[in-house]
Amino acid sequence: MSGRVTQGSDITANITEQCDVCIIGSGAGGGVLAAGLVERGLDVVMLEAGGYHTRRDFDLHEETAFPALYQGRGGRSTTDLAISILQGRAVGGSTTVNWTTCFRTPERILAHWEQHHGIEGLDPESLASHFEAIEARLNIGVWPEERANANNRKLLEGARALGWEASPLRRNVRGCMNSGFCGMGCPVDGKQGQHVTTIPDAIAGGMRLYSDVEVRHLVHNGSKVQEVHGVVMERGRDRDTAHTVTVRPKVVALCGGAINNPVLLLRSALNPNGRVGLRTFLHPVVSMAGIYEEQIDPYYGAPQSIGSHHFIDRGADKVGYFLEAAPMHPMLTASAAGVFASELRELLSQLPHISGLLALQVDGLLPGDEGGTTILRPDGRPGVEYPVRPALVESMRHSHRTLARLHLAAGAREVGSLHAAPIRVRTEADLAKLDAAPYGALEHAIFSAHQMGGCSMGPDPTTSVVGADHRHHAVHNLYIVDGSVLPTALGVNPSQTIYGLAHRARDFVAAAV
Amino acid sequence: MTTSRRRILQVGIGGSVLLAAGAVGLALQPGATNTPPSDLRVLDAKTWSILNAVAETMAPASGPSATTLDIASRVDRHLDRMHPADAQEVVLALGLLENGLVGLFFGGGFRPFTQSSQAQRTAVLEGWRDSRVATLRTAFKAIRGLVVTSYYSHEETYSLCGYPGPPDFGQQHAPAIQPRQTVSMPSPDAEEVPG
Repeated sequence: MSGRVTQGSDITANITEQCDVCIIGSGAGGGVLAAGLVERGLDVVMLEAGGYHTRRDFDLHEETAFPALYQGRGGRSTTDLAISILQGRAVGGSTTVNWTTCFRTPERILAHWEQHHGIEGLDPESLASHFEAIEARLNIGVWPEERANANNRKLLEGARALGWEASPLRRNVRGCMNSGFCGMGCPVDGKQGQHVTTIPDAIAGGMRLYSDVEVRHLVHNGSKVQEVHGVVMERGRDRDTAHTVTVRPKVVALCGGAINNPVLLLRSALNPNGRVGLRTFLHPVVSMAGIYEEQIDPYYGAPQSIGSHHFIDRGADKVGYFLEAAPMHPMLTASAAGVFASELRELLSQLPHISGLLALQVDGLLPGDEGGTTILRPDGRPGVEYPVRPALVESMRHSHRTLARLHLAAGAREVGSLHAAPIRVRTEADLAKLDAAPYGALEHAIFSAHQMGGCSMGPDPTTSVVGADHRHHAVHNLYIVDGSVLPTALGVNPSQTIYGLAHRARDFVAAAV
Repeated sequence: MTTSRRRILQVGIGGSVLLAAGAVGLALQPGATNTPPSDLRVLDAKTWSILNAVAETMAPASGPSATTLDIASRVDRHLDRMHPADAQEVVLALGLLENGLVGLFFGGGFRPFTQSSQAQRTAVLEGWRDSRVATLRTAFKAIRGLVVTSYYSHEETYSLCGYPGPPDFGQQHAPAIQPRQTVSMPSPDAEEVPG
């Protein structure tokens, strides 16, 4: 039995579906779960708010890619615009546009969850078989150091010169051509996103996928979801069409990711203990640009292939961070810079010689670090409120010093910050200028490429949203299977953790049918 | 268009007062309109002219002008893709910028933005950027994001950045993916692109 893809433009009347499981969202969680459920002989309907895009649609221009493939047409951010949130919105979710970096969940994070959040059953041994299966299906493997582009090599060279740990990253690619355009959709289907792996698997096994359908409401009686109400959206424009899709499933799996999941629950008045939306984590990212004499071409080559966890543990009272590189295309770079007019032109004219390195702050581990809150705005859409607290300000300041030292050790002739008045560092003596600079919301560019939490996992129904089996504490046929259940940030790129959890959740969800 | 907007004018009482000033700016100030195109989607002639003035100020002196690239109309098309409530906030922020009274209190002069010199416009925008009023900093970030992303995502500006543009993999002519169909993959040792 083969399923089908129905795109919004194909829908000319209201649709009603019945099925075993309705999966809402087609990203890292939804894709893996769908393939597993279909494999178990279940009848699955998947609803995806974004469009169905294939490599034929990926023209690799930022102008096309960001409005088409990202939440908020590329403009999702915290409510004060201080943190720009890059999050995918397409069939495949963020896996269609991510930079392919894969890590198994760190042992220290799993131990933290057990110790501080009471989560049992998530340990390296129990997860190993799930990670192995995912690594095989998505072809996750180490990207050879010799294929790292110059941008990533600067991270490696700087770290080695300073005696800091840095190593090649693992990527989910097959036949990657090292083009550097992962963030705009892979033009050769080298990236093993869900849109070319688990979702085609599930469709071949009978799943019906509806794209361009945004779920607005879960109809429930407090203990059971009875109906899923979706609205068909115009492709390329945030406007409703006149048509709806209604699904009456036995079980609902919510896989829309952090931010969108909590808001759907809030819209549906499904927040019995008031915990929905709390503990939203973003791995807030700060960056510094190093300018080099030699050609870097930071827009070409695998975006991320070297990483460093040298500063991941800075002591019990400090926020740790990890270091990676970012692909630098003109629009994203212009957006990240704080300057405009001729000053911006001058910076961008040096783009071929710029290396962009990142420090990703690990939020949610310190006592009292609640991260941000996903809220329901009066018009029904999500808002993210994220206070940049003193511990984060401290780690951002420390990160800037670290990034500047890395660039200098790698041979940069100048390193610039993303403040409105950029701090320029040419020698170690200039580092004091960085120490004296202001840090925090709206002081400099801050990004998030990793959204986690908002529907925390935990054993206590009064302090969490789902149990360790991903089942909602109050609604017995509702499962949440994606990054929104993470009780803290991870300190690594989250995609493989989500794949692994979804792989583990297949049996829980199937058993509920 | 990465950095754009979100609830820019919902930052408390101060924000509400400024929001009203933005509406006043659109209603009362005479403004100086250039020649906006006839097929605007979200902006009207007046807000198009304000945005065009911002774009002229934020585009580099050396390089294609914002008017030549019609950045204001490109932003208009992007606003049309966004949720209407978000687009409306941008429109109000533009009105705020035009309101001379706001300029008087928050940097810049009394003149409407569109009638100010380039130097005065720069001063007003920098005043917003560095303002103690969070709403103005947020509004600056929204407007700056829309304008500079529109300018630097235009293919005509790639050469300013020394950016050769994306390579062509011929993907537009690739066969449609069918479920379970094995897509022809480049061999693992395929030549790296572009070099």
